[in-house]
Amino acid sequence: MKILDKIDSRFFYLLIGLAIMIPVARPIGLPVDVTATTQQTLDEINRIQPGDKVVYLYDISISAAADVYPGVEITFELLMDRGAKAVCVAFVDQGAMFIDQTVRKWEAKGKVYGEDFVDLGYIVGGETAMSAFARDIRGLVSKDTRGHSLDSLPIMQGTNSASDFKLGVHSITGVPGVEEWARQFYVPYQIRSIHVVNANSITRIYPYLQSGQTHGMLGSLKGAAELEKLASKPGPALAGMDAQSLAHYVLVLLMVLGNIKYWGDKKSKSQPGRGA
Amino acid sequence: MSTDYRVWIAGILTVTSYSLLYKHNRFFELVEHLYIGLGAGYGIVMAWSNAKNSGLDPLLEGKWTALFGIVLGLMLFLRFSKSTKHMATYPAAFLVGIGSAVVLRTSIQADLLLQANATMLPFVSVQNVIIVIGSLAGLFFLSFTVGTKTAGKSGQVFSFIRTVGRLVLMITFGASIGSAVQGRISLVIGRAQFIINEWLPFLR
Repeated sequence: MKILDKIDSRFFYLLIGLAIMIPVARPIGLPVDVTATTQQTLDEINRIQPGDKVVYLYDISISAAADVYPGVEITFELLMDRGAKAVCVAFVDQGAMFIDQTVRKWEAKGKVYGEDFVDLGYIVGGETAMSAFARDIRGLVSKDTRGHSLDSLPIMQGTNSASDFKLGVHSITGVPGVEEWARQFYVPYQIRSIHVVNANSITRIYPYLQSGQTHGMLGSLKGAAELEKLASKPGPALAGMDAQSLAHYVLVLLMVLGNIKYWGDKKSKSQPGRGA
Repeated sequence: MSTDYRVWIAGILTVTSYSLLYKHNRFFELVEHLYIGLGAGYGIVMAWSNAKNSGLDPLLEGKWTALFGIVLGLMLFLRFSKSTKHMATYPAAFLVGIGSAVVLRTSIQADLLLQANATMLPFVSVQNVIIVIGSLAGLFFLSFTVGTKTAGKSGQVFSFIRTVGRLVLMITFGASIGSAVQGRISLVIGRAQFIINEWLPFLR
């Protein structure tokens, strides 16, 4: 085990780097299992009928976007396929740029701004703003990010409060999160929802799934990959799963080695005449 | 290889960010400062745009009620002067009061009643048994009114429940750490996909 002491920590970084880069460059095709929460997510999306309105909250920050945005892309695509009308809004400032990215992409694909989706941008105020938005959208926002009056947009006709949405999709990387959603959207208006979350938030979602305050979850890149697989729409998340699996195998191996070394050192220290 | 200069800038910044893993260097510091600066700049633009959209524009359109919010917002800046510092506590009190009211309104139902209700399950599956026992033991571990050194049989029972509670919490923390690692790997995968698929596709 003394050999482990001599290994430069940078070697481990290199090992993990290679475990990620190689399968990204040359995919292996390791199997991806589908978890129940992803199936629930697809079931919720499949309940949407053409013309149903969906509120899509982009509460995501750049630093964790790589973990969440593939999930946002696939859910948005499935909603567009179902003919949903998406009202996009952010309560995290950096979320606004991801709305813009999504909206531009779908405009380029032929969907119509103002009819199929609208970008209401970032609204400051966190949970208080969420509460005000859910109660009275026009009381909080009078124009979209392109300067159109809400009354001039077909998608906003008859869209006044959270009660007018069939489904909520909440993408999160921190706060506001599922707690704020439950308090301001679920309890007062009983809207069904799915949460697209980064890996750090996964354990926070389960109690709310269990208590029926949200109805589906896409957890991290893995959740997005599962939905891509279920919907037969392979995308960046599914392509990244080989790297995810290999990197985890390497990490598990390193943790086992680290523990073996730890216990080896402890044993040699406890034996008189041995160790440092 | 990409011919888009923006892709090259992003690629070089990505590699420079990861150069920290080899050794701390000035190029990494440059990228670090750039990131912080861009974040702050973006925040200022968004804040101004919000102040304009939800304060100034409605005021100019004749909504005089917006003036109340603008005045309260401006009063927050009074904290920068010693003589007017106390005036900034009034808008702060509004913020705290409204924020608390908004949260408390539904908090008991969302965070307590519905959660407690979800743990009252019949013992018809292993999952239900784990949820009920895990929740009770976890809560018991965090109750500090029963001494850890209670003597006799009851002491042994308390100790056992606490041990189960501690195990439940440790498993939860382990799951959180596992998720966090998964998240960090996902971030690297995102960058790796960018480098290989967009910046330097010849690596494929």
